[in-house]
This record gives sequence, structure tokens and C-alpha cells, in this order.
Amino acid sequence: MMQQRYMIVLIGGTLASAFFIERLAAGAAAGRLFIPPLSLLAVLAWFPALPLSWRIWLGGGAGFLADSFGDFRFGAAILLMIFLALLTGFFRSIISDRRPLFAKGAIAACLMGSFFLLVPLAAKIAVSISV
Amino acid sequence: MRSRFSIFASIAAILFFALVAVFGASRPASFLRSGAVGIAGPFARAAGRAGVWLGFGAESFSIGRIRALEEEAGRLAAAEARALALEKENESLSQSLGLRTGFGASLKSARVLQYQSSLGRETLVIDLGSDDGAAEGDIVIDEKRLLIGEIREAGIGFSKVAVASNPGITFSGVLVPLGGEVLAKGIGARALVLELIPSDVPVRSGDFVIWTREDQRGNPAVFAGRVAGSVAAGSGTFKTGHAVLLSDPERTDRVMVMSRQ
Repeated sequence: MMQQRYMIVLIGGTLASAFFIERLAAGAAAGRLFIPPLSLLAVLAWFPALPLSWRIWLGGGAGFLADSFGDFRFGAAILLMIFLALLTGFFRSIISDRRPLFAKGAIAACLMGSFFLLVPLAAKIAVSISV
Repeated sequence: MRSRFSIFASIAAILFFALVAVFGASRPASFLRSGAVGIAGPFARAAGRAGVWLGFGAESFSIGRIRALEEEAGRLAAAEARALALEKENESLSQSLGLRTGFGASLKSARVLQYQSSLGRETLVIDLGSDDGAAEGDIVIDEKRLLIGEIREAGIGFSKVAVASNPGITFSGVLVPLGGEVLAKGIGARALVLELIPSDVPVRSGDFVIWTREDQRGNPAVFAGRVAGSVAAGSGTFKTGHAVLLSDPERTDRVMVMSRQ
């Protein structure tokens, strides 16, 4: 129970920090630099260390926040993060965990790459399914 | 037992977020989003302000330079009527009442809750929503009458504004001071591509682009961009150029929303 609370605080702190830094960088760069969605990438970095239900709730919540504040079509980030939460299991099954830290880093990198590849598709799906 | 709970929690999460994503425009989802914007908005705004303070953005385009251009534009037949109207209304530019008088009752004031730039797209969230008459496609300008962008999504109590230089945003414009209609397309990083410039229209670096729309003719001009660089001569009837967005969305605290009449 203590470990769960510790994890929740750590994940919440990471998400809040990434959210803050993303907007700080956006204000500083004033549209002249490419700013990646740091809050979503921070959540993806946590996915390999979390069980499935945690990943879906965390990913859905972060996606909801990104859809509410960002230029994503509403629903796109939510659907994408939930899909990536499920995809984590697939990457876990194909990446060897002989060196756990390296394996988690590799899975996180695969998820981030998948995120950038799937963003346009998620936007189109969100447009077609929204009521 | 624990695994059953975990499976149940996973299914519940998927169903919940799928419903929120599909029914995003419904009242319950809009209230959730309004709540999220209300709670995280001040934090996001503070971060953005800190970024602007730290930042290395270009100096904001001053009212003084706009007035100098308005005086020059007033001498030419193509923009003379608008330039005269601009000259008369210069003194009330910073007053919302004066701006409303110029544009008519369709202009509404809104506060910027946050500015974000992510994946090459800039977005503002403002505190004017569909319940206050904002609608998708409404144009947003700042207090200097510079074009910010258009409303991409209007929720209850808030709206998301896509900055005019975002990829995928297109609008009609008129070149000032020499006239000539153009099609301006956003390509990101505050840059616009000017297309369909008639080949017989001279375009100079430093000329301005005014945003136009059929139902806004006769209203005071909304400056959108400034021509930058040379204009490429096309092989056919039209040529292409580039412009830079004039407004500074990251420094804007208040905006005006122009609804369709």
C-alpha cells in the first residue's frame, strides 16, 4: 500500500513537471521551435513499469488532459494513449528482460516512436467516431 | 482476486474513456473538460508566463508601427476607405467598447487561459464557450486588431483557438498597400504561404496581409501577416510568396472573438 502511494506521488509529480516544462518551453520558444508533447511522453516512459489497469487509467487521464488543452482533436490523444497502454504488453513480450532497466527503456522508446507514428491516424479516427 | 479486480478496473477504464472520447461534445464530457481547464488552467498559464519571461521570442509588433503603415495605406485607392476608418479608430484600439463599435455587436471579449505549442501547432484556450455564443470557425483577434487564429472547438465555458499559422489553417487576404487578393495558408512556426497572388500584382517584402471575409467587408481591417522574403514568379497566372504572422499569441492576455453575422 505504501509502495502504491509512493508510486502515485512519483507519477503525479512526473506528469505535473512535464506539463509545466512543456508550457514553459512553449512560452519561451513562442512557436519557433518544435515542442514535443512532454506530458504524454512522460506518461509513456512510466508505462513499462505499471500493470495494465494503471496504464489505462493513467494514459486515458493524460490523454484527456492533452485533448482538453492541446491542438488534438478531442478524443485522439485518449484513444492513442489507451492503445499504447495495451501495446505495452506486446512490446514486453518481444523485448528480453534479462536487463530490466534496459528493457524498460527500450519499451518506452518503442512506445514513443509508435506515438509519433500513430498521431495522424488517431486524429482521423477521433473525427470519424465522435458524435 | 487481485487479477479479477485488475481486469475489471481495466475494462471499466477502457469503457469510461471510450465514452468520453466518443461523446466529447455532450454536456457531461464538456463539464469534465471545463473542470480540467479550470483546475489546470492557472498552472498552465503561470508556466506559459514564466516561459515568455525567460524566452527569446521576437519583440512584439508595436502599435506605433501599425499606425505608420495605416498612414501609408491610406494614400492608395485600393485600401483608402479602410485606412481612413482605421485612422479614426486608432485612439480606441485598446478599449473594448471602441473596438465593438467598429466591428458591431458580433465582437466578444475573452481571457486567455493558456497558450500551448506542441507538435508544431500553437493553441490558445480562452474562457468564452458555446454557451456564450462562440462557435467553430469564429475568428479571434487581439487588442491591436491583429489576427490570432480561429476557434477550432467550442466547449461549455471554454474554446480552443488554433493560431492562424498552424498547418491546415487557410484564409483569404488582401495585400496592403498595393491591393490584390491572396490565399494565405499556415505552415507552422508563425509562417504563412501566400498563394494565388495575381502575377500582375507587385508584392514587396514588408507589405502587409489583411484578413478578409465576405460578411466582414466594411469593418475595420484585421492585420494578419507581413510579407517576408522575395515572391517567387510562377509559370502561370499566379505567383507565390511568404509572410510572417504579426500577432504574438504567447503574450496575449485578452482576445476578441468575431462571430459570423
